[in-house]
Parts: sequence; C-alpha cells; structure tokens
Amino acid sequence: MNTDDLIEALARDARPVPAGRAARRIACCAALGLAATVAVVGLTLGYRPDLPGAAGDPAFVMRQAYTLSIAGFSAWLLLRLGQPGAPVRLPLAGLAATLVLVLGAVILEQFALSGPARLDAWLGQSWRSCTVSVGLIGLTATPFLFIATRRLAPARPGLAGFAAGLVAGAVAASAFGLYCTESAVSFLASWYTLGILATAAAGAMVGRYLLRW
Amino acid sequence: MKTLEARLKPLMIAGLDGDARAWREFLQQLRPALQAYFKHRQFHGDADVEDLVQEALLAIHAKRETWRRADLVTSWCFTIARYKLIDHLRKTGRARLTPLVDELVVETDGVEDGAVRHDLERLLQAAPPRQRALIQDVRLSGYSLAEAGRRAGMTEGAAKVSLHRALKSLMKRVADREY
Repeated sequence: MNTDDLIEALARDARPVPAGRAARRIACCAALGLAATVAVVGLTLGYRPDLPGAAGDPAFVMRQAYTLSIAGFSAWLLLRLGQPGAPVRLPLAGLAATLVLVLGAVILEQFALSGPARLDAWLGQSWRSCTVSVGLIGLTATPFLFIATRRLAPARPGLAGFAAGLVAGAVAASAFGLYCTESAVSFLASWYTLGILATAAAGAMVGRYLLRW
Repeated sequence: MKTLEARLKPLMIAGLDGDARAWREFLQQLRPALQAYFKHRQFHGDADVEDLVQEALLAIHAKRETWRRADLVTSWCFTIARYKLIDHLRKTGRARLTPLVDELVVETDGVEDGAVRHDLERLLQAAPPRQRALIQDVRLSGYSLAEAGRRAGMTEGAAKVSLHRALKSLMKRVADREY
C-alpha cells in the first residue's frame, strides 16, 4: 500500500477520542479484576465470619489501605508505562511512600514486641498459605489488566506486564484480606507483599510476549 | 518557521476531536520526519524505510488515545517510532545486522588490533615478495583479484592460484609454529 493512500484511509477513520479514555479503561479493568478475585475468595476460601464488623478492626483497615494503595499506584504506573513518553516518577514515588510507611509500621511493631512474640507476629498462623493464595488468586485478575494494557502502547512490554501483575496481585491481596484473620503488620508486609510480587513476576514474563503491539 | 512540535500539537488536538482534515494534515507533516528518523537508523534500503514509516503511522493512529496533553507530541511520536524500529530489527533477525558489526570491527583501531597487525606483518615478511603483495592487496586492502593481479603483473587466474598457494604456505607456517 502506498503511504499517501494509507494516510487518506487513516484520516477517514479519525473518530473523536474522548479525553481520559485510557485511564478509565485501566480503572474499569482493575475494578473488574477486584470483583473477580472477591468472587474467587468467596467461592473457594469463604469470607471471615465477622466480615461486616471487621471494618472496625485496625488490622483489617491497615491491610485494605495497604493493598488498595499498592493497587492504585500500580494502576497509575501501568497507565503511564502505556503512554509513550509519559513520566513515571509520581506513581513510583507513591509506591515507594506506601512501602516506607508500612516498613515504618513493621519496625514500630517489632520494637513493641519482644522475644518469641516477634516471630509469632511475623509468621502468624498461615504464612505458608498466604503468599501462595495471593499469588494464585492474582492470576484470575491478570487477564483483565492485560486486556486493558493491550489497548495502550507500552514501549517496554515486560515492564508493563510487571505493573499489570502488581495491580492484579494487589487487588487479589485485598480480596484475600476478606478471608484472612492475621492481624500483625509484619505478616502483612512480608507474605502479602511476596504474593503480590509473585503475580507481578508472572505478569512480567507473560507481558514480554503478550503486550507487544 | 515553527518547530515540528508547534505545528503538530494543534493538529493532534483537533484530530483527537475527530477533525479528519486536521488528522490528515498531522500525518502528512509527520511523514517526512519519520522518514528521516528511520533513514538515519536503517540499513537495508528504502523499501524498509517506507514499511517502517507506514507501521509507525498506523500505530500512531491506533494508539492516539495514549497521548497525554501534558506531554510533547513529538516525543510521543518518536517513542512509538523507536519501538517500531526495535520491533522491526527483532523481527528481521540479527543475521542481517552481522555485516554491520564486521565493518565496525575492521574500522576500529584498538590496541589488540595493533598487536594482530604486528604479528601479521612479521608472518608476511617470511613470504616471497610477490605473494606478500598479493595477500596484502586482496585480503587486507580489499582489492579484487583482477586488480591485485594487474598490480603484481599477472592475470586474474594466475593471481588466484598464486594467492591460494601463498595462503596455504602461510597457514602451514603458523601451524608449524604452534605445535
């Protein structure tokens, strides 16, 4: 095809593009991913029995704040990675600030405890299953985020896959928090984070191939 | 004359609002810039350049919702162009790039290169003068066999045979020294 004809054909196809469509698509798919993981947790593990009242439990609030912040900043990062030439400084700073805050809370918690109580707070009752559960549940949210990302233009598909996996892992961690009854921040910061990173690593591996355009 | 950025930005904004004429103008203004971009970074002739220009234009059209008004239109366009170039090089394979690497090696004049040249010269000193000239002309300076033959005062066929013998005895000498 001759380039003049191509330009002509593309100009004829110039329908209006609403501003902010890319951002809305990412937000929408992240919400769908969250809904899917909440459903998966309900169907497989079941929610904790005290769920409506758990909103008053500081550990529950902390956990949701952490996982949803990671999800939000990662979604922002994903959007920016999918927009050629867009800066990624702010979302990265948001992720870093979230991690620093949680790390600070871990240090405070570990200082307040002593001896074997420290290890108990860190490992809880379910450290073995937490990371694996979050990672696996995260895989059910990943397709939604990949669908949204494929409409974008990530110059580094592997990195975009990592960010998509971060979002999927974080919404899965939030959903898993509806089942989990662990209360320590040290537990949250270790095993939840590890599960989120596992999903992100899977996203990076798959993204290298699926997110090319 | 206005910069490319200043010309493209209003056209991009109008194009995003669905103005087909502005969008055509945008793509037409962008085209020579893309051609220049790929020509500078492309090594396999004009057909490839035009393919790449078309690929980039298509991607720019299909992905136009990913441009943020806060960013430069040109940096958005050329990030896409660079992605398409890298994608193209990966698809066409590294085999086609190897000759380029060879050229670079010949052109570099590093320390190691000097050492190799020194060894080579010592080795060539031992060869008869006519053969030595032939090897230098054909294998090192890049003359054709016919040209080198003329320089040495022989026909192309004779030059070919003589060069073959010269290289053979050279190889033998190297092998004898090494074992």
